[in-house]
Amino acid sequence: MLKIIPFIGILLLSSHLWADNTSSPLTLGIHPYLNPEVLKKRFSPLADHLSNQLQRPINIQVANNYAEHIRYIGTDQLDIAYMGPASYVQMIAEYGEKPTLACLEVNHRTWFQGVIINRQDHPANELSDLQNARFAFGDPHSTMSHLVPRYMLMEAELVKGLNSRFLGSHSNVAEAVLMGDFDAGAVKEAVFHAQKANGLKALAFTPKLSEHLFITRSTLPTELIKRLRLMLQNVHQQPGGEKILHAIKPSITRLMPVKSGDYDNLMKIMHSLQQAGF
Amino acid sequence: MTLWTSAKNSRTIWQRPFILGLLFACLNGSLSLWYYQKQLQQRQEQLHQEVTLVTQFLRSALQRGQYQNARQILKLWSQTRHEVSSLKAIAENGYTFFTYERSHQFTETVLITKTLHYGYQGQLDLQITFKFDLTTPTLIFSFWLSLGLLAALGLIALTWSGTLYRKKNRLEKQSVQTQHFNELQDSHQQLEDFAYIISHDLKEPLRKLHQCSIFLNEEYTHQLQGRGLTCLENIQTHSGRMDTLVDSLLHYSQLGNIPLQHENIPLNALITNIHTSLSQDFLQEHVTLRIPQPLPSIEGDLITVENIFRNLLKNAFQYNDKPTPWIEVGYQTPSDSLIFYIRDNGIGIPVSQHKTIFQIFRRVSSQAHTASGSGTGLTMLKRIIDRLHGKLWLDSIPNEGCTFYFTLSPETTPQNWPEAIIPFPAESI
Repeated sequence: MLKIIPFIGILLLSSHLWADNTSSPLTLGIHPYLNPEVLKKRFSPLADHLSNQLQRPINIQVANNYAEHIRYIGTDQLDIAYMGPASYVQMIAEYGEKPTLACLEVNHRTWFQGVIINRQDHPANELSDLQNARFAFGDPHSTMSHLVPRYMLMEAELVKGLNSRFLGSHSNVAEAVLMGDFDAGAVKEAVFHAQKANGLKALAFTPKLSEHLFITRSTLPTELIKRLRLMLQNVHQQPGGEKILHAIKPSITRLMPVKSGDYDNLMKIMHSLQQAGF
Repeated sequence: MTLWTSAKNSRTIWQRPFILGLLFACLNGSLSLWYYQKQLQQRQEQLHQEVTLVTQFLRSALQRGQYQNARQILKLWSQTRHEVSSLKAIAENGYTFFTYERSHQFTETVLITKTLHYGYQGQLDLQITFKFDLTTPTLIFSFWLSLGLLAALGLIALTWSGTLYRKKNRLEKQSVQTQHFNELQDSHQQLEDFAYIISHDLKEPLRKLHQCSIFLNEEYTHQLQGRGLTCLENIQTHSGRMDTLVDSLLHYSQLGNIPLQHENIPLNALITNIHTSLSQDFLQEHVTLRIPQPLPSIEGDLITVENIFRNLLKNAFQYNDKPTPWIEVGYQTPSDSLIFYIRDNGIGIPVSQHKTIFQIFRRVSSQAHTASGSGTGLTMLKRIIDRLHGKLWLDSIPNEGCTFYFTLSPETTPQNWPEAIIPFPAESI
């Protein structure tokens, strides 16, 4: 009987390897930051590229919400997943680390940051001037329009007495501040630059956070993970590679190597917020 | 007023169309201006309502913090309303939340400003400029109005010309009738003058002739014998008769010239007087007068009415050869009318002479050689009754008697006047 066990193990391993090497389809999961149809359209060029390279079909799947997306990749129901940094950190906290494949390089930067804004004619010039201020956040799950800025306000001990409201989007926050309905608000850098000329000023910048990234399930064969990583990081060099990246986001310049430690600062922020009850 | 007076008094060909054209243009212009103002007012009210609606949506979005949605509402509305020339939404702190400009050629400008309050302190001032074109709809309105006015004027002109045409025809007809009437009157007058002159002028030689015959009879009778005396008697008889005829003719010609009087006439007394008078004249006091029911009193000209009754009673006296002659005077009232009658048991009139009997100098043929009279009585009687617009007719059986019926006015004449009489019972004759 003992002689049979290693045989069965080898048989199972080989069958698993055989299964991954066959032409069975892979699933690429996208976190639902836009309409599913739009996301499928944006990521289809990349999926087609990978499918051609691997000679395997790749299906695109968009979860109904962020939690579902995190659960799918956490429980290895997705072969490849595209995630935001906050979702990635949350996934690690709940399900442990997953192999990373590549992160975005946007305008030649692999990081991004948010801005706490107010009007240029507003008397507050530092974060500490926002005592008892009316503060506008974007979406409650948004990294740059809520989570990180709230962490900063916590650190500056401004949360107590803060009169805050969620306005749903970065643009609404910028408009609300410009119209004087709120003393300050939190937006991503791009929105700040777009509205700066209308009378906004930066009160504080958030810490630099690593960009959105692609990860894979832990159970995917190592060789396949390596191939995927290599393929993603070299997309920009492929014929039509720029087009593939720009389909996802026009400002993407390439996909860069990434490691789990790049998200430690965010992990620390999320941990602090969790402890504070957010 | 001066214009209107001049329009009324204008008689030249070109003035009336000019005045009408001017009135037409003024009316059209006034109505078009009124239409333009009404359209402008309506459009302004519509725009105000729309702005109010947009403001409500805007307030709702801003209160929920949906600034992008609020901007989208303004963008969509200003883009879809082509009359929006400019739209500015300015926050209380001077921030221009939304601005929109459009250039077009429309002329009419309406500015609407509205202050929108939302949330606790939020305030947004809306400044909207509308420009729109009411010239085209007004021109279309004016065009249809012109058509309508022209059609109405055309109808009026047609009706007017029709009325004028009818009036002209009527006047022409009246003119012809008047001319005919005048001619007839002239002719009638000439005839009366002629009759008068003839009768008057004939009297003189006739009188001399008659006097000569009397002179001959008185002075030279002893020289005449046999046939000579007969001829002299004939001359006297016929000249006397001719005198009577000329007198009658003279009287007939003067009948239409006597003015009529109106007075109350008690017929009972009148008939009795006439009967008494005629009895003495004809020396026939044994002619019985029958009046079956008291005769009414009537309104009329006494001389005329007396003439009528006298003529008829005289005929009844004159043409009766019965040993117990009688005359009946009475009346009938069929259908609220009033028909008088005079009956006798005289010689009667043959049916063939019922119409010719009223012609002048005609007498009942069977008695023409025996009875005296000029033969103008019934003719004059007919003329008198005609003058009163009454009717005269008769019913007679030869050798048994005669009944004359007559009415004295159109009001008392029944519609079916010859047949309206109530037949007398057979034993009444």
